[in-house]
Amino acid sequence: MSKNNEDISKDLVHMDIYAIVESTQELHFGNVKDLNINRVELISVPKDGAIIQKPYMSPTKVRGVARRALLWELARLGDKKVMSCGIPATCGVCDLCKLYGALVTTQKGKKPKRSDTETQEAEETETEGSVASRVIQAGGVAIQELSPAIKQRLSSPCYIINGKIGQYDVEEIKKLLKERGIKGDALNRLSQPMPYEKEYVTGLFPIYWHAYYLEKVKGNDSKMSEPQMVAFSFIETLKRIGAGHPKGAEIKEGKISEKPQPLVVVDIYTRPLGKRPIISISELDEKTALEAFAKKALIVNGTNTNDKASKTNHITIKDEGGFFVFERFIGENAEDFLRQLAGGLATSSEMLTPKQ
Amino acid sequence: MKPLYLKELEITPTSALSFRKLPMSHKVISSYSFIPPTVLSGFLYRLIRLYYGKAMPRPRVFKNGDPVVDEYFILENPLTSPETKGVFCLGAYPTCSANFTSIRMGYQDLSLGITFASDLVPFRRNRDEIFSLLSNNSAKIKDYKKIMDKIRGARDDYRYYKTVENVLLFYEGESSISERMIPDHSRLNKKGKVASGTTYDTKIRRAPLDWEFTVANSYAAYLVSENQGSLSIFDNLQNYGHKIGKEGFAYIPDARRTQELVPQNGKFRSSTIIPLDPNVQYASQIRFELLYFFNGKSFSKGMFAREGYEVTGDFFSTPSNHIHIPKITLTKLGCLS
Repeated sequence: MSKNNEDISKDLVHMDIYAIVESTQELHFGNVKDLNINRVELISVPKDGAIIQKPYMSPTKVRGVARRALLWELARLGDKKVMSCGIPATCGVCDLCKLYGALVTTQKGKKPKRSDTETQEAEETETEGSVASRVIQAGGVAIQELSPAIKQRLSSPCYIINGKIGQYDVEEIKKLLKERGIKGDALNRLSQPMPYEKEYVTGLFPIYWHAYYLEKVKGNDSKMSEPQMVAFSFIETLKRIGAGHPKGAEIKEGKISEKPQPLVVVDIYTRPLGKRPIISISELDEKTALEAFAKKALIVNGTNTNDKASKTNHITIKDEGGFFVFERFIGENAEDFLRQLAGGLATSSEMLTPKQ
Repeated sequence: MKPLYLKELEITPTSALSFRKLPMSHKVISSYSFIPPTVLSGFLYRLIRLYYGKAMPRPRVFKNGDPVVDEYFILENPLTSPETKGVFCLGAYPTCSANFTSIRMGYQDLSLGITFASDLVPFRRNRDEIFSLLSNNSAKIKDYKKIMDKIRGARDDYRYYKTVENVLLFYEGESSISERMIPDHSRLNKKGKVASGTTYDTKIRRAPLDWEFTVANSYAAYLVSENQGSLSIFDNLQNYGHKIGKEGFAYIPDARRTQELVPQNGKFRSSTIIPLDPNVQYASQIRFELLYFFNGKSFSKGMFAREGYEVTGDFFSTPSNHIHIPKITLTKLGCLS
């Protein structure tokens, strides 16, 4: 590895989040194909030599929601750099782009002026092209093979006419709209009830987030540390997922080490010693899947840590030199940890907050 | 002939994966249903970096010219990966997989440019409709004749008409519309957007695209080397994971024991891709795909058949006779000294 040979600093960690989420209500994940009927996207999955179709919370859609949630939050916190960023025109220099990646297809900025003090600065801030994302969303293939439900919907116009609210004569609405300067096709569209059909899905979706080379410590001019950004966007995405209404998913409750708790696992590590709680995409049975998740969640460094985990839900491993190289939060503790981290509070993490 | 060793790695994806197929199109992204050798190689290269705690290679400034070899971050490239000299990736193959196509919208500007709806037949515009739109607005159009000529001279393309319609609607509030505001068809067509010259330039939207993914539970990855020791590094990669291909994430749950390969001859079912070669008999229904491969100095393109077909010729097999690797594949990828 002759190029980019520099060792990474000790202040970088990897972070994985594994969770099983359930839709709190029926959700719509668009797959625009037909006129007047809003289809949902289904994924084809191999199963015993055949191919079956399952509901799909596509990682690309989760990612879009996560990035927007984070963009708004950073803007709300008063991050100056993020103000010139957006989707799809990513800036490539803000904290969000550094973590989530940016597509920069042209050389940005002007050539630095040849003044001694400025040159140094300009070289540092000049973008180096595209930024590769360090957060990967994965999973999203539903466990059960549930067919989408088609629902009839009616979009009926509602305006305030003569101080009254309710449905009125089409002509009266048209008159009102004309006064507002609307004309042509739009006039018909906005004044008449529009029936349409929409598909919805429900179910359990295992979702996995993988993030690598996160900086433990918050930068001086940053509003959030990188692990905090990952945790925040994960938590925030859950309530925003789904197109239109209703929205939202919640972490499923299940049994881990004989205790009912949220099915979520968070790993912070420099060495991946935990068994990854991945559920086979071909699995159809809810009970088997949840048991598999709970079982794998307890396996760390090749051994079952049930005894230790049932007390603390927090497993840590040190290397030969006495440094922490891996820690896993399980269930309730994992959810608490994510929420504390997302909120910028102190956490019980050994790897993110090294003790002196 | 030197003995040849095989390393088998299990690869488990945690999501649907996408490996962009050649030839590329900007409207449709097709995916191979296996992990091509170069993709696998780049993936393992990055896992080794993770293992050693080294920084990932960074994407360079957007290039217009050809990439240079020292930017190929794969195991076979001695310039970027001298430690893995003599190790060759043969790709990774699923036991069973499904492909599915998702429709992705690209980005959109609802008021301008080509929207998703303009692709639907009821929303398409033809030449006459644009002409009637122009004549409706003729009072405020300065170079009416020039614009008519421009549109008449353009190729018959509903996307272009839609763009012109959007431009006209965009400037509806303006007191006058000049010829400069209407993009040339040739300029519009080059890269799917207007090159330069109007204020409208950057507003054109990318068209929706069909994006194919491949879905599988696990893949078997094959690596060969004439030096047994150089394959041992992959034992350390257990449980490491990274982004793979164009979309998706995968990790290595298990690295199998290194096995020595036995040269054989006859009829066999290939475990890897097979290049198109005049000296090999293929089954009649065999299908070939265009694939990038690295020949030790640079990338080339070639036709390969998928794994799982029966062919006759020289091949290598494991002692248990489970895995069959055609000799021509090894020759083509430069694995044999």
